[in-house]
Amino acid sequence: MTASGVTDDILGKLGRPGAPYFLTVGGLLAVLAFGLYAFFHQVRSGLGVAGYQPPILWGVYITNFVFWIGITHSGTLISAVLFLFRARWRTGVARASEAMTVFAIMTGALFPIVHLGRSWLFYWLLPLPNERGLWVNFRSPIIWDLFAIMTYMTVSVVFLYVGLLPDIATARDRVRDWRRPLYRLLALGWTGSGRQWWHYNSLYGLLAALAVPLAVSVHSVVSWDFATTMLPGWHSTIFAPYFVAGAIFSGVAMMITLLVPMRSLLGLEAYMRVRHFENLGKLLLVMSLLMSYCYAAEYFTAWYSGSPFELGTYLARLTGPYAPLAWTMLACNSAVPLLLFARRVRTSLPALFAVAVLVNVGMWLERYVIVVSSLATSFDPATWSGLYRPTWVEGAVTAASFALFFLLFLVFVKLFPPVAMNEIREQAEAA
Amino acid sequence: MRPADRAGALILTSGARRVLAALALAGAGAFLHGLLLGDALRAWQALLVNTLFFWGLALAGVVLAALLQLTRARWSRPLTRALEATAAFLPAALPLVLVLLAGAGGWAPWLHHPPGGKGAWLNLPLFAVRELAAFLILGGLGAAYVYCSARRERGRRAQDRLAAAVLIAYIPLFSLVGFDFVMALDAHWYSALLGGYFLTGNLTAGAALLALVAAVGAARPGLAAHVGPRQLHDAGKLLFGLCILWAYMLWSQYLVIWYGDLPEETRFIHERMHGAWAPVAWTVFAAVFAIPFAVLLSRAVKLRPAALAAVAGLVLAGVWLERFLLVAPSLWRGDGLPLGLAELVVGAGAASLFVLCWIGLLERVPALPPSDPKLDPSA
Repeated sequence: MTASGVTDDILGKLGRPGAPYFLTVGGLLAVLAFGLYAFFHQVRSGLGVAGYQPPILWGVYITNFVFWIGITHSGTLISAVLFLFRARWRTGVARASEAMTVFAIMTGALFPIVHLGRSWLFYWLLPLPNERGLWVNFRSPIIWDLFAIMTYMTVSVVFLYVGLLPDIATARDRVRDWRRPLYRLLALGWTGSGRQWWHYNSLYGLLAALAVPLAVSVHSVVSWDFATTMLPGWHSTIFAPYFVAGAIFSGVAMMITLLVPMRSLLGLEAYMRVRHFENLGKLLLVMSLLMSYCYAAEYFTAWYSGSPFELGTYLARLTGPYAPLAWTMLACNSAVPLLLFARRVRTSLPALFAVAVLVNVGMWLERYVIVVSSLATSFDPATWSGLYRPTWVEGAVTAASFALFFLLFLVFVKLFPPVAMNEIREQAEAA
Repeated sequence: MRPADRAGALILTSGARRVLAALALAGAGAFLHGLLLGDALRAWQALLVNTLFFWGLALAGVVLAALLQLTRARWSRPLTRALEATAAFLPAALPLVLVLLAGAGGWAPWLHHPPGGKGAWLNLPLFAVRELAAFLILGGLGAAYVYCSARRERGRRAQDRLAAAVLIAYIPLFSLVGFDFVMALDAHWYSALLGGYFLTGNLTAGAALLALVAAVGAARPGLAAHVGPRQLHDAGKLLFGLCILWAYMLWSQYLVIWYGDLPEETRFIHERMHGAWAPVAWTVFAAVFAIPFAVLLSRAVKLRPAALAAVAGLVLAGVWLERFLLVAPSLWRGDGLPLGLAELVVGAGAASLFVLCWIGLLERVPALPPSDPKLDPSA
């Protein structure tokens, strides 16, 4: 395809969407609205309407928080890391992954607020001088979370936006309808001069290099929310790299989950080749093996430590009331991805999609098992009361988070080029 | 590659070979002297540290070569052979591992003071089987990969499969080496990350060796045509990245232990960061992270062979010292640092043996992979 053909083709995807698009958006809005209703019900009635009961005071909301912050790692990995490694195959999938990062972080960052008993006081987390003389505890990982997530969100948004600039300018010059003023505003006067491109290239490389350590820091800090406690099953030195590996794993799985349908719905087959998906499949396999290594190291150390509390917690995971979830998680995260050793599975989009969906399920369950099962069997057996069962409120809020994420993504792919036109043109010209 | 080209590549003069052979013999002599006539524990410590470092370095070269092969890195093609040739040390490492296993009574505290409840894992027969199995699997896969890479007629697919097998075996098995040869020295201490931390340090040493080869190769007539700014820059960046990863692993382990402040966990850190060991700990931190991080931020440093070689040499020495810091404080109960002439001679002997094996193989195969269709002729 010629360079101008690429532009016409991709801008053509941004045309007026059809009825299925509006139906999907409507459905997602309905789920979101119900979730908001459930959240306000919780605010009015108190956290008791969630399934929380001592000792399990972290449940589905914290699971969702860790899950969504994990999803954000796809963008950095696919886009920034592969950019720094000069892996050219990233071009087809980088834009979507960057957008996914931004939307996942927006979704995930809501959960600490949802999880608070008095959500309206969430701004107390900010180190602002106030009339009560309250000051935040800088030694608390919750505060580290705030800083890490805000910084990562800022850099991710800027990274996505800077990458979009040339494409927005192209859209501005081609589109003649209501979107033109929007593109004109967002294009920041981009003319495509040599000087602008020079600045663009250095800024993009710099942001990529900044985004990688930030992404690692974010999930490390999330892991320290757990690891800095004394709780067996949480207090483990491997948690930071293990959480980062899990985040990349779930991020890649979510990318495949989104991109496979998007590719056929928007007709992007020319840009997102099977080869790209095969590479994503390989990445998923590598991350699955690393996750299995982390599981093995955790279980081995718990056994080797000789501590009855450590060992007891891990045995309770595998044999206690949460065992079905733990075994499902191991099957989804460690066993199913082994199918990706077969090239036939990696190159079959339906098979790859199925594996990725199962990994998403497995990774959500992993966070659930870590959060809930450790709390359920903490030091004092007298507190081991009953099974934690999430309520409809938590279910509705969780569903709403997925709805919000997909909604933002759907709006994005119709408003902005879902693949980086400028990079594809560049490759088409170089070829 | 023509023989004339090869002459300018990485080779040893006969004088250098003699000096290295003499040093290797002196190292063996120093070890035996310590064992029979001097302080046996110090001799065992020195052997353990050098085995972990140089066996690890031999594996790290092959693992990095396999990684660069699988990721289709083009820049590193001219340096591939030099990385792969580290495998030549593997046969020489086997006697070292066997001596360590045979003399475990001299250095493994858990043999004399079996920790309660850990006998199922820390017992000599199982220990020996585990370590030998790890050695043979890693060595076998590494050798098969290097052989396949040198004789490319079997095709890229076979090479890719072996590369994947090398990586898949290396991570758990070399972690196991870390757990067994480092963590078990203090049998009450445990850290799930120790294995990952240990192998990251090892790969950092591998990247330092790669950077050193790039820097030396850039000045050699036989390789200079293929090793240019691109290779220097990328080798420098890889080293930079691995130094950061090492520090990340160090910090991830440290922070959780510091925050938890549990006596059974803090002891390992405390005894290395206080008293006589504190200067060693800070030197390691400076050599493997602080200085390389600050210096390698500069593109000019990465592009200047002498500067890159200096940083790479510093990191190699730093990782050696880090292995020493991991091992010795768990064993040594005397006053002062058990780091003197004897340790240096054993270290120099092991290093000489490594260089003899490594360059010895490099001299026998073309220093460049000329059959590689992706060998970039314009460095």
